[in-house]
Order: sequence, then structure tokens, then C-alpha cells
Amino acid sequence: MNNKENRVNSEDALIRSALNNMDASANRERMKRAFVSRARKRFPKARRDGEYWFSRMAAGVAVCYAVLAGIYLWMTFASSAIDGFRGEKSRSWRNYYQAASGKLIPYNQGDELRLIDGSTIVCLKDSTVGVVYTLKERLIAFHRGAIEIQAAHKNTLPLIVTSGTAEIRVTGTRFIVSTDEPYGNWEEGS
Amino acid sequence: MDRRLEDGLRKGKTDAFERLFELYADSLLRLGYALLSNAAEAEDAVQDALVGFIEALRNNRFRGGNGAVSAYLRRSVRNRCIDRMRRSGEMPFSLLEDDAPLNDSRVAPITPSSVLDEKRFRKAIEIAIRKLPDAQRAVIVLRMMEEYSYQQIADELHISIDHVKNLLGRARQKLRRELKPFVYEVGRE
Repeated sequence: MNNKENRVNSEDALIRSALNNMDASANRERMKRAFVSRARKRFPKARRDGEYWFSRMAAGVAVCYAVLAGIYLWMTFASSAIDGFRGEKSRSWRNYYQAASGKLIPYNQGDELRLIDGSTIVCLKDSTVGVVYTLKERLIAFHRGAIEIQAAHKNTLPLIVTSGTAEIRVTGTRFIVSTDEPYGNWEEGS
Repeated sequence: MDRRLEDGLRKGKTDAFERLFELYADSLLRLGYALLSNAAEAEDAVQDALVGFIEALRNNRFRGGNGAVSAYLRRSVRNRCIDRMRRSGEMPFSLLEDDAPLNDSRVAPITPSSVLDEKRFRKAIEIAIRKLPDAQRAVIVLRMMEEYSYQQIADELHISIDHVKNLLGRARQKLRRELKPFVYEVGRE
């Protein structure tokens, strides 16, 4: 009986080795391709978390900047004292922006500035002028040249022309000229 | 399983899929081919098991070390194969499927010393096992390849231990009869 058991065990060893050494390579390559393509379809490649984080962050920052820039530009132009130019020289966006924000910028002889209250400034020579309207006063900063200011009647806010050195003549309406208040920290734009 | 492979599988990298296949497909295919007589069904079972494993890994349902991957995959293939057998109608195994008398002492066990040509003999065993009825093949494969105890086989196939022993005995006898041509005539018991 023991002898028979031994034989059965060695028989099992044969069967086991046959099973464990079975050739499984017949369809292997085809199967591998099938598996990989199925797995790729089932589990599509995920983008790295970092990429999502970065692009979202960048988009958010860009939108914030765009909104802030829009608000800033809108406020600048909405509070601009200048309604329009008339003149020979074509002006850059930079000039419009600087004029709108009240900076001193150069104009040519004969240029005309229309202001929002209907006042006009005509340049009798090549002049450098900046205009700022606040809630309390109308300020015209004059740097060089010669300008004729035609102030609108309906606007009762004081019109103040400030200048360091130039001689100023304004004709037409009531106005106050004050050269005591220096706006010397205003620098001439391009 | 190393971290790189795990990460690759989670992220859906093609080379990770290929590597998983390279690492485990051969032994799984052997198990599948042994359990199911139909090769295409065995390949399907292996593929399903691999895909199921990636799914489990990605859903964090699989936690385990190196050895656990192989065990998980083998269990998965085994269950799928037994399911397929069951669906194909052979299960639950009937005791009546084979009327040949058991303990036929005229057929002696085969021993390594009595084998004529080992390589051809192996191939013959493979073919003979494939020819067995599903129930007998399942029992002999679980016993030989997976090193299961009778109790484990009984639990896995939902049959009694006596039934397992019976099926195993029948399978052995059939194999002996099939493999007779490859064996020297040695002394009878």
C-alpha cells in the first residue's frame, strides 16, 4: 500500500510538472495586444494632477488680471476730462491713455482739445498741456507754448490754470489763474 | 508589485499594461488553459482577470504586497473559469457523469522511471487533461497546480469531500489509461 502511495505521489509530480510547464505562448502576442488595447480604452490616460493645478491657476490669474486691467482702463477713461482731439497729428493709444489720466502731453500748433463740459483748448503754438477735472475744480496744467481756453458757461466749478513759468492768457469766461500751486511733479509724457 | 508599475497602472500608461501582462500572463494562461478545455474562453478569463485587477487597484479595492498580486490574479482567473464551467452546464458536478468503476487495479500508477519520452509525455498529459470532463479536470488542476486540500477544493466547487476524492480518482484512472502508450510495461501491483 505504501508502495502504491509513493507511485501515486511520483505520478502527481509528473502531472504537476506537465501542467506547470505547459506551453502558453501560442496566442500570447495577439492576446497581449488585445489586452493592452482594451486596458487603454477602459482606463484612459489621466493627466497629471499637477498639470490641472497649474493650468487652472494660470487661467485664474489671467482672468483676474484681465478684469482688473479692464476696470482700471474703464475708470481712467470714464474720469477723463478730455472728450476729444482735433489735430493733424495721429495719436497713439499711449497718448490717449496719458491724456485721459491727466498727464502732460505735447500738442501741435492748431490742435484743439474738446473737454467734457464743452470747454475747448486751442493750441496757439506747439504746447504741452494736461487736463484733470475733479469734483471740486477744473485743473489745466500748462507747461509750455500758448493756449487759448474757452471755458463753458454752464460749468460753475472753478477753472484753475497752473504753470511754472509760462505767460498765460485765457479769453472768454470767468476764470482763476493760480501759479502759486505748483504741479511741478507732473512730468511731461512722451 | 513595485511602485512604478502601480503608478503606471493607475495613470493608464501603456508600458505599465504591457509589463503587467509580461509579469503575470504566462502562469495565468497556463492555469486558464488547464481549467478550461476551450482556449479562447481561457484567454478571455485571463484578460478579464487582468482588467479586473487594474480596476480594483484604481478603485483602491486592492491592497497588498508583491505576492498578493499573483494570488489575487490566480484567484480571479480560477473563479472566472469555474463560473464559465458552471454556466456551460457541467456544474453542479454529477456523480453519475462517469460510470467506469473506481479503483480499477488493472491500471497501475505511472512513475517517472517508466516514461519513455518525457517531453512528448508532458504534451500527452496536457492533451489528456484537456480531454477530461470539466469536473474531473477542475479537481485535478486545483489539486496539482494550486496545491489545494480536498476541503478547499470541495469549498471552491460546492461539492462534498467524498465527491472530490471520487472525481480525483476517476481523473487519475482516465489519465493512466490515456497515457498508457507512453509508458513501459512495469510489474503489476
